Amino acid sequence: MADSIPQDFDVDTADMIEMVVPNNLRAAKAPEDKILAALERSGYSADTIFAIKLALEEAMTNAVKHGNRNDPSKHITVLYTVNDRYACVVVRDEGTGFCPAAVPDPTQTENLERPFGRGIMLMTSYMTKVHFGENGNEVWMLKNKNESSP
Amino acid sequence: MTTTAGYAVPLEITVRRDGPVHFVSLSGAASIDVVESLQARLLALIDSSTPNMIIDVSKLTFITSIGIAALIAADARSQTLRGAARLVNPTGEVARILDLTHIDAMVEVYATLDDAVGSLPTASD
Repeated sequence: MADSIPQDFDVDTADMIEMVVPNNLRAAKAPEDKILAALERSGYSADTIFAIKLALEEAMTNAVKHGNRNDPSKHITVLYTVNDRYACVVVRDEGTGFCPAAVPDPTQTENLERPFGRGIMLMTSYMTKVHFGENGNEVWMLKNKNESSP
Repeated sequence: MTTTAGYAVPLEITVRRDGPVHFVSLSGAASIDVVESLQARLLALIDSSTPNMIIDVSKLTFITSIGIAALIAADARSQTLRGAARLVNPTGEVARILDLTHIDAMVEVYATLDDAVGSLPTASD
């Protein structure tokens, strides 16, 4: 199970499903397919599913490339729960972590050419809540079912 | 998955060449499992005889930051060969994502193919 539930995430983690996949972007499609299928079965709108897919892919990409530094010997862990009120997804890597507050704003002029920060910015734009674990190698993302796109 | 929603449509890449320009059309979702091959495909098209690329994204239904990085990389490669890449007519949620990430500050975006072609550097530039 994930490290600890963020205080403002009012979610029931008892039924969370956990998947561990090899550390590459192609393998990351497998947990995504399962999560999107669960969202569709639960009647989530296409717009909401789009938002969750976007945030999930950003989180998994960060885990593969930055957290696990493209190391093929490592893995990423994805946990999720989907119900009639919300979808909650956790992505964890095996890296040493990072400080999210230290990531520069990618939309500032001086940072536009830097390849960092766009993923986190999109995650926070499209999800209801995003929380990075204390060590920075785990991210919790929550999307309310009936919340509209940004 | 049985849905035909835009985020689930497989990515298709069509390419045609006209002189020093490759016209690339992207349709469907640039999802996590195909985005690296997308970048490789775009970069492989750019060489000294075809340094320019027009990328029609009007039918692109999904993109992430790594897909955006692929588009930026294509433009950067083009510029090293005194060419350029241009994006044409982003729509829907893809347009919103490109706007949020300010991609127009990195790669020029045009509403029409003609405008994009007209903006390409000429041999004398």
